[in-house]
Amino acid sequence: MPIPNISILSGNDKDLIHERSLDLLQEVGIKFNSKRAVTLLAEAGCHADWDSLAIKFPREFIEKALTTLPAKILLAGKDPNKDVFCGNGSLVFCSPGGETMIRDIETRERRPANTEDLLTCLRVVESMPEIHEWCPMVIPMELPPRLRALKTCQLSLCESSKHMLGSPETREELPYFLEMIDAVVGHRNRLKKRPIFSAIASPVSPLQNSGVAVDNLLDMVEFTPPIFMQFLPLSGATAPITLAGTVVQANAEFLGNMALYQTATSGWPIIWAAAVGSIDMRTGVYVGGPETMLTTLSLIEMAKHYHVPVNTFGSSAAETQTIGYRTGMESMFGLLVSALAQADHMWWPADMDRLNTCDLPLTVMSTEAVRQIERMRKGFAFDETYMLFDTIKKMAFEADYLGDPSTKKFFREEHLQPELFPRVAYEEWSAAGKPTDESIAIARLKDMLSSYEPVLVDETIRHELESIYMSAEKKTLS
Amino acid sequence: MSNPMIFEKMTTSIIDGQIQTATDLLKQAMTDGIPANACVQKGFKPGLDEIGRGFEAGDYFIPDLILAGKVMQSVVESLQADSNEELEKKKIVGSVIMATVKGDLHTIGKQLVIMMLSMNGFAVTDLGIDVPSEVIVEEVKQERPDIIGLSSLLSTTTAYQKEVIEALEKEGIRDSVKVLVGGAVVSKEWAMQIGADGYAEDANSAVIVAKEVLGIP
Repeated sequence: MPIPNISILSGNDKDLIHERSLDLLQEVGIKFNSKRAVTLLAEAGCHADWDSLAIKFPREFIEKALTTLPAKILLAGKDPNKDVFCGNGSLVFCSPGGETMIRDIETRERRPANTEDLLTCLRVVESMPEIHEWCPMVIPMELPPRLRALKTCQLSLCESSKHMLGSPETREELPYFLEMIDAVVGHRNRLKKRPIFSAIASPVSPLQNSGVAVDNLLDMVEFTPPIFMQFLPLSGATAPITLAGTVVQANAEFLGNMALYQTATSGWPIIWAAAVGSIDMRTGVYVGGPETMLTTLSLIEMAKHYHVPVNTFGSSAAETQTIGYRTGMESMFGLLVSALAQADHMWWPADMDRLNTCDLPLTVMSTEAVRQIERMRKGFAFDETYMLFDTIKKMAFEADYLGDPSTKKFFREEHLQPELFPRVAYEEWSAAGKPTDESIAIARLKDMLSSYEPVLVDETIRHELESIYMSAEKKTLS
Repeated sequence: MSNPMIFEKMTTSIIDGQIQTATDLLKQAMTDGIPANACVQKGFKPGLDEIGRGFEAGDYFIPDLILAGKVMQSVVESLQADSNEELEKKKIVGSVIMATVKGDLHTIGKQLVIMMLSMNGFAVTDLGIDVPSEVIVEEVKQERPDIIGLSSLLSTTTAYQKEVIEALEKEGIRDSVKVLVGGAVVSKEWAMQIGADGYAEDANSAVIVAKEVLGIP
C-alpha cells in the first residue's frame, strides 16, 4: 500500500549521530542542577561533578537505558472513552500550551490571557474530537505566579475529560497537585495503570536542566506519569548554527535525560518532543522555517531508531501576527512534513506570534489541515480491487464514471470531503456574503461554544479540588 | 608597514572577528611606537563603526557584532595591561543591572541586550540567570542603577517580573529605578499591566527604550 514517508537519514547517518551523541555525553555530559539526580546517576555508575551538578555518562549506560524505553504509551483520559495510545502508528494531537497572550474572538486584538480564556479554550478542545489531549493553552496571567500552574491544573481536572499534558512548575505546588490527583483518581498509584496526566520536562539547551523540574519529576517516580520531554534548542544560539550540529546536540540531550529517568525507574514512559528552532540573526528572536523542519525530520528518524514516541510542532514557525497566507503555509509545512515522517504526537496548530499568542479561530481552522494530512498518511489501497481495471475497460473512451457504481462505492473512502471550508463557486460565495476563512472559523467557534455541554464532574471532587487550591493559596501567599 | 596600512588591517581584523590578528597587529604597533590611542581611534574603532553601520543596513548580523565586540574587548584588555598611556574613556550614558528572573535559566536574549547596551554606552552588570526577586531588589539598593532589565523566556516565569516590581514598591525604592522587561513571551501589554517602565521586543529596541526612559537623545 503506497503510504507517503519522508526519510532523510541513511543508516550510516543515524549511527554517526548516535555515536557522536555518546561522545558528547561521555566527554561533556548533562548539567542536571539537582543533587538528587546526580546522586542517583553517580550511584548507578556515572561520573559526577558535584560542583556543577553535572553527569558524564559511560556509553554502555546510555545503551542499556535505551533498551527499557516503552515504544507505546497509554495517555489515559479522565473519561476512559478518551484514552489514546501514543507510539502505535496513529497520530495524537495535543492542544499547544503555555501562551501568555490570546487574540480576542470579538475584537481580534491581542491581549494578556486570563482564567476565563483558559476555560474557553478548555471548552473548545472538549468540543473537538480531533484534539486528543489537553494541554492548558493559555496561562492566566492575573494569577499569582506561584499558584498559576496549580490553578490551571485544578480547572483542567474539573473541566476536561481528556488526558492532560501539564504538571506544576514549583516545588511548593507539587504536593497540592498530587493531592488533587488523589481526589480525582482515588489514589495516585492508580496512575501507573491509567495515567491521566503527562508531566512536562523542559530541559534547557545546551545540555542542562532546571533542578526544580527534575526534582518534581523524581518525586513522581512511584507512579511514573508519562514524561513529555521538550528541549527546543535554537540553532546559532543554544545549539550549533549548523543543522548537523544541532541534531547531534539535541540527540545527546534526549539520551542523557532519558537515561536519568530510566535509571530512576526502568520503563518510565517518555515522549520525546523533538522540535528545534533557530533565531533571527538580526533581532535574536525565535524563528522557524525549512531548516527547523530538516533538523526535526532527522530527530523524528532518530526517535524511530530508538523506538521512542516522538512529538513535534504542528507548524514550522508560527511567526505571523494575523491569519493569512503565511499562517496556512507555516501550519501545513509543519504538519505535513512531520506527519509524513511518521511523528507520533503533535501540537495542534493554534499559535501565532512566535508561539506566544493563542488564537481560537486558528485552532478551529486547523481541523481542515489536519484532516488533509491524516488523509495523506493513509496513502491509498493498491490492489486489483481498487485498480478497477474492468471498469476502465468497460468505460473505454466514455467519460461516464460519475454514474458508475464503483464511483458511488468508493468516493467517500478515497476522496476527502471538506468539512469546514466548503467548495463553492464565486457566485455562491458572493451571495453568502463573501465569507473569509477567518469569519467561517469564528462562526463555527461560536456555534461550538453556544452548544457546549460541560463535562460532568462529581461535585464532591470539584469542592475538594477547590479546597486544596485554597489551602495552597493560603500557605503560599501568607 | 606604514601606519595607515597597520590601521587598515586593524579595522579589517575587527570586521572579520579575528582576535589573534588584532593582537598581533597591536603588538607590532606597540613595537613601532604607535600610540595606543591612535591604534584604537584610527585602527580598531573604525571597524566597530563599520560593523554598526552595516548592521543597521542589514549587511552584518548579530554574530558579526558579537565577534567584533570580542576582538575590541581583547584589544582594550591588552592595552590596559601593557600600555602606560591612558585610553580615552568611553562616555557612560547610564547604568543597567540585567537579570533573568527566578526559575528561568535562559540567557541568550539577555546576553544580546547586554551586548547592544554596552556598545551604546551603557555600563551593564549581569546578575545571571534564575535570580530571585529579593536579590535583584538588594542589588538595586546597593548599586542604585538607572535601569534594571528583567528577562523571562518562559511563559511560566514572566510573573516574576511583576514580583520584582512589587518588591521594589514594598521597599519604597520603585521610583529610584526604571524597570524594563523583555523576553520571547513578554509583551507591551504585559509590561503595562505590571507597571514596568518599558518593554523591548528585541536587543535592538532595548537600546532605544533604555535611552527613552532615561530621556537620552
